[in-house]
Amino acid sequence: MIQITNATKAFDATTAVDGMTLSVADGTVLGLVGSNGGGKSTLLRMLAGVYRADSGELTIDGESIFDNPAVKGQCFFVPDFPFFYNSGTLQNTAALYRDVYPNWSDEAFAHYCGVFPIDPKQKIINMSKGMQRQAALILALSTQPRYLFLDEIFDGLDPVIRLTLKRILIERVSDLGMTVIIASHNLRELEDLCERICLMHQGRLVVEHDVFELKSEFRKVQIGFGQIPEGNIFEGINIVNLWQNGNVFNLTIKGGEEDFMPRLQALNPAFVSALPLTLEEVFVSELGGIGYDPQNLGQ
Amino acid sequence: MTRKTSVNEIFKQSLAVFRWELRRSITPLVVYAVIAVFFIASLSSLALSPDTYDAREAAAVIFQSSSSVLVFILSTVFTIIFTLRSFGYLHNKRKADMFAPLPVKSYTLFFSKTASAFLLSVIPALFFLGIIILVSALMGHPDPGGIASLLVKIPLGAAACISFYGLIAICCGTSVNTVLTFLAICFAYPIAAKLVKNTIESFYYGITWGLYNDSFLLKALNPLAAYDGINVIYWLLFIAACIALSAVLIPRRKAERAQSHYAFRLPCYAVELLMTFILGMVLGLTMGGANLFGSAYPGFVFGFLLGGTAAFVICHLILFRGFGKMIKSLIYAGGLTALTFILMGVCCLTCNSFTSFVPEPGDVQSAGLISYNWDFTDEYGLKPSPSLIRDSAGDFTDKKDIDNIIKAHKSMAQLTRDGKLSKRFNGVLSRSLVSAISALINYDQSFSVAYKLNDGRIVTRYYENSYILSGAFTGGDSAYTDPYHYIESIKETPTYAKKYSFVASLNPEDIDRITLFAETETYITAAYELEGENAQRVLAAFRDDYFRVGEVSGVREISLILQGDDKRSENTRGDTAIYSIISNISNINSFNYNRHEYTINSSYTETIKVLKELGILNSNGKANPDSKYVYNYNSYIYDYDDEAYH
Repeated sequence: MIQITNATKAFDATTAVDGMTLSVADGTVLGLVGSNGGGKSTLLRMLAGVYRADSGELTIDGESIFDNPAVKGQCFFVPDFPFFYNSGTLQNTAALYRDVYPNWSDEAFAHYCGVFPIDPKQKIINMSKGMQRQAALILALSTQPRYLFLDEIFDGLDPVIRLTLKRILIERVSDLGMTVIIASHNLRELEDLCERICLMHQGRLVVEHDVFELKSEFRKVQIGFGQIPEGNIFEGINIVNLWQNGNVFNLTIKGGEEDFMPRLQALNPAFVSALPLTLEEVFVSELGGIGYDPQNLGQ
Repeated sequence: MTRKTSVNEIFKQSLAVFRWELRRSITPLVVYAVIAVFFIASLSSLALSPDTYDAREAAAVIFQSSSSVLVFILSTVFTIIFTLRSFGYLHNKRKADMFAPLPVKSYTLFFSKTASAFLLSVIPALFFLGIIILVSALMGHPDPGGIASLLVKIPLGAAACISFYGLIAICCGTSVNTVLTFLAICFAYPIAAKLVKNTIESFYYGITWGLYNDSFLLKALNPLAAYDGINVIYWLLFIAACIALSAVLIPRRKAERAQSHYAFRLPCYAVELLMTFILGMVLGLTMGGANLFGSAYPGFVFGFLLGGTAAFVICHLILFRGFGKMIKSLIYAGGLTALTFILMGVCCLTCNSFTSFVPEPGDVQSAGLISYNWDFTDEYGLKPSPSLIRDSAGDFTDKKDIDNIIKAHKSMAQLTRDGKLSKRFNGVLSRSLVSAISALINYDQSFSVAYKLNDGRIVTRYYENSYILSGAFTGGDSAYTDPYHYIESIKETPTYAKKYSFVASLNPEDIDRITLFAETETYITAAYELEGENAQRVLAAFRDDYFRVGEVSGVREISLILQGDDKRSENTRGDTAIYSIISNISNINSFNYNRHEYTINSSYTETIKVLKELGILNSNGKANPDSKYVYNYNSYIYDYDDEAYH
């Protein structure tokens, strides 16, 4: 299990991760989402042992991660821009990982070289961005990590590869109990993959929730009136966001339909409909709640 | 909690990193090999082509020297390449993303990369040097003197440079900063050390510290000097210190410091202090020498503050990107400045009593004098060293000899007695310039004196000709001739001949030919040439006489003979026959061709006896014109003359 306790990391005057506390159970997929500069990549680098926390603790199964080869041998980090040497091919880069990662599997390497359409003898530096990520994924999966940290991994991958990757990750999580943490702005992809989501803003954890629960917690409601009733018509309803266009209201409501629908029906609307929010809408809605929304940025 | 990594695991990880570096370096190694093989093959072919033995011998020497120089240059170039590549992971964030998550301890990774850079730089060089030695042996000239020294110089220099660069790489955030900082320290430190040395020598003229030209103190922070292959123990300690400091710093280094300018400020302070000191000293010495405020010391203080402050501010702005950490830097720079002022003050107060001190004859128990002329710069001679000078204090106990030594010393002390303080300030900088120019006349006409005083103290002084030429004092060449007369009288003593002469240090086996000239008062009557066993017999007898009698004056200048100048007869001391031995030392391997000329008179009884036995002299001591060793000397004389004048 990954345990992050009150971890803080600052770069000069900027605090990238600020007192973060989080537990990630084995065999789960956690999505890290958040604003730009929210601290997602920094947190992944701390988990990968690139950065040492200024304070707090990051452990895997109770062991500190930083400069601990025994723990790092169970992890693999694919950064947002994976590095390869000019002369590096998949084959010769694999030689290094084969020597240092205890669980490296040549069978897995051969298997994933077949799954992803990459020539192991081709220079990686000459490949496209998406192919370089695939190369990094082949190496990552060949080390058979128990903990996989992926930063913006879907960037540059075509839909087929994205789907393939998701399938592989799900298989490995369900079959082998691998734990995956993915930092991404692509909420649509995370929605399909992650069981839990962490929302980070300015280095802090805003919300950590089960994806299904998070989505079901909010409803997007459209309600129209022939004649808008007098007074505070939505009193008692937990409205996160409201936008009015004539006699039609678009609402984001936190809570179950069984709670707010009877109240809305009681207003005798011309029509009313409620839909679940996408993860992206939840993301915007939550960040809007703490003042990070397009209107504020515009100001 | 962190699990301990076993030694076996560390070894495996190190090996993995080395293998990775080796794989990455195959292309440059192939380039290295192709260049080396091409040149070694070409040079060895050329060396084998001449027909004559002498020409082949010469070609073999050229092959050895040029191919070993080539390997040295290649090794240096590829050391730079492999070192820059190895430590690049500390300075690139994307590389940090690749290497930092690897399940390898940070120090294991760092030292594996250090070792890789060293091995990849050194092993090919040793391999090709081995080939050169082998080819030389096959050519029949296995003397690998110069090459053998490279077997030490290259690994030592590479290890010192790589470990020092690695340490600076840890401290710096970019490769550019690392290279610039490395070069700044390598070049600034020797300049600063030389300024200190020259200051001591200029203020305390005669101090034997000046002899430590090869001291590690002058090159302590310049690992490029390790390629000289001297001060081996110091450089091994230096390498160990760099590795130890790296081991302390590398786990503390933050990966995010890649691409920032510095991770640790250690080299910043070093560069800042060195530059402050150098510019402060240069301006301080200039203004002190110019008596800026009517006195040398205040001028020095003003100049140092002016130059030091300018250097400090500029360095700080560059290294610290602004005025951050200024207080800490100021404390260090202030401490250095205060220390400099105190030490320079002490120098100003005490230098005169040091330079003008000459012991009274009554206070001296024994004394010694060594003159360093060109004999001492060749491979047979002794180099002046503080221990040699100190040991010479017991050489002469005779009153006349002691008096001569004191007179020689006194005449040198007179040069400095009326020297103004400002001249000493000027002397530091002029000395720096002259020492560079006078490298070729390094020890020529220099001499040392040493005394054992009645109270048991040993006093030593060393006077270097180049310093007098620098004009630091009121004297010059004309003043320098004064001690020369006393020095000559000491040099002619048997004691001196036995201990310090060329003949004393000569290996008889290096003499392959002895030429003798029989002379009358006006011309040479006959010339003889001896080789092999007979030459050794004459030499052995001559050595006995030389050590017993000492050197005798005679015809020393061949030019006089050619001109038929009558001055020659003034030196004959009325002997019926004066014999001149010219020993020809031909050292084929180093292409040195030295001749030493000595005069024999009737006091050289052993030599004359052997010459009679060989039939060179008749029983009456006259030259035998019918001797089987006679040869036509005219061409020899002209050859000698040519060499003497070129």
